[in-house]
Amino acid sequence: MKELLKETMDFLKKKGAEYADARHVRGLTEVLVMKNGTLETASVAESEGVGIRVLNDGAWGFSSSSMLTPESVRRVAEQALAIAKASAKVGDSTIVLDGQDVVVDSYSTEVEEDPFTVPLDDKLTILGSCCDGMTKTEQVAIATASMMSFRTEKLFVNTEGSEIEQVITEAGGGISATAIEGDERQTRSYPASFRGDYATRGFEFTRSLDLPAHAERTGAEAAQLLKADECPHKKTTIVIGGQQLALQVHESCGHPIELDRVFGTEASYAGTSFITVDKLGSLQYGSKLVNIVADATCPGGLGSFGYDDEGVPAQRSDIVKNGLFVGYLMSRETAPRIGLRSNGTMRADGWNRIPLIRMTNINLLPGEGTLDELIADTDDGIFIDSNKSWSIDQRRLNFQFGCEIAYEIKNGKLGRMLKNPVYTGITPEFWGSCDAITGESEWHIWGIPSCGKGEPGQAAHVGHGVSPARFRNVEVGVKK
Amino acid sequence: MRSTKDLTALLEGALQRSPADETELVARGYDSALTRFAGSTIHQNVHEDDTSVIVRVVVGKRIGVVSTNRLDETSVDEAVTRAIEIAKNSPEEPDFPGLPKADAAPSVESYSAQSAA
Repeated sequence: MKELLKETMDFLKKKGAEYADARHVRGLTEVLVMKNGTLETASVAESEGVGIRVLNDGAWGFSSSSMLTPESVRRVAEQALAIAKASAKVGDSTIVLDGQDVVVDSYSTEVEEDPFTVPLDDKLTILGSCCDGMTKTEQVAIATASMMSFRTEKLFVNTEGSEIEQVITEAGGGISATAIEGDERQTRSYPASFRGDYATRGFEFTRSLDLPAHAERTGAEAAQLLKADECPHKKTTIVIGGQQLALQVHESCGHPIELDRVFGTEASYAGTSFITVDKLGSLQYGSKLVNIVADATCPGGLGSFGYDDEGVPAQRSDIVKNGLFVGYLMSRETAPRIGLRSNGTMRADGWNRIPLIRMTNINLLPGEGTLDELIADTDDGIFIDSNKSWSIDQRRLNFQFGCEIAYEIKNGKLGRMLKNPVYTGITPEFWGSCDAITGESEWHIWGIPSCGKGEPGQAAHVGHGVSPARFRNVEVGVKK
Repeated sequence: MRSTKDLTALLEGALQRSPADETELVARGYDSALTRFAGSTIHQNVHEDDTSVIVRVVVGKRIGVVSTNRLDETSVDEAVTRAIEIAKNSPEEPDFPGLPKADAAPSVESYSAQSAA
């Protein structure tokens, strides 16, 4: 396949393409979902194909096929070139790519236990134990346990001479218990809501979550939430736990810094960004404690890889430094438009998708101290965690988040449990109110395997390293 | 896309070799293109074609489903094997009446030159 794709690159160069790249991708996905002890979903899907991107007359064309014969790959290349030529006839096509080094390399995720060799029986035993544990609580009506495993093998070549082979393995899982009493229903999840936590690791990561050990507690907390007081409506101090803070970073930072989105290419679908290019280097995004980086090199981060889908090496870039907005997620096409070079964030979710600027691991750097110390330092407020719902405007400015659980903080101690906690804010005001971030011992990279963007739609696997943090004067609860 | 003749031969071979109580193989192919505009410029102009096989097997009253677009004999046989493993670990569906019996499927021509113009 490598020789075939290299020949195809030579063919496209001879045909006058300014640039071209080809990706041969083979993906394997397994999804297991057990509900109340019964296997509800057991799906295995495999997909392999080649996608070719061509830049001609300053415009892109992309074609792809699962037929991998030399004739078919040649046809795909010719199609991509023809599409690029057609694209160039519309509008002002002036795409110029930045310069990048030629790379010949390979990369593989570090895996101790291949998730695809773990017997199905073993996985189902774990999921069954989880359901048993959660349903020990009488009020738990729905106990769900799930695991997903992924393997992606990629070969990338381009007309500049790069050749990169990568094997990315990902795994993880989660549990959730829904308790019902009368008209009231409450859900509690572990380690995170919406199917759990994921990493670029093997099944050893899924085992490390120790899902069965947390099942009884998860069920019990769901039932306790039924009787908990409603989160009051007020402006107060909030301490946000890691899982919710990961989503806060994702929605209010990760998305608005995608430079293609800033330039308006997602306006018809995912939205735009309030962080327009005039704000680079001048927008006070958050307090001086807030430092956010994009880092595709984090070991085990779900957004980690060796090279992006343009052949640019994984790297770490500053996004927010001491509260000041200093960087975007960029591509070889978008970066030169602001006088910069790509920082390696172009990712496609399959052979049949064109790469788009996507988050890698967007991490809030740790501060100091433990969560216990932060709570002890807080006179009056709410500790809130585990996302239940999210809503944010299309510019990523005004947001509302609902969470599974909260606890009142009074005089430095956690008090009564609160249900249906919600909080709202305006992104820079919110991050500007951050006055404490806990330290490395509390820091964890959460993996979100379902970030949507693009048409046709794509789902990216991204990571967010965070440690719990405190924010002042935040509106919580629902005004009645 | 692959020819109907080649696909039929591939699927019939896999059916013969399948050890499941019942086996169904459905091949689906598509050829799709999309042009995306922003700021009065085409920024994504994309095409894809793909053919995949969805394997459904029945073991007793248990069902397993696997899909693959790797359309060679070995890969389709592996998909059947995986589907059987899933079926064996799945709950019984007591009301499942079995896979549909053979019937002639009408050929459908949905292309309209008038609307395509």
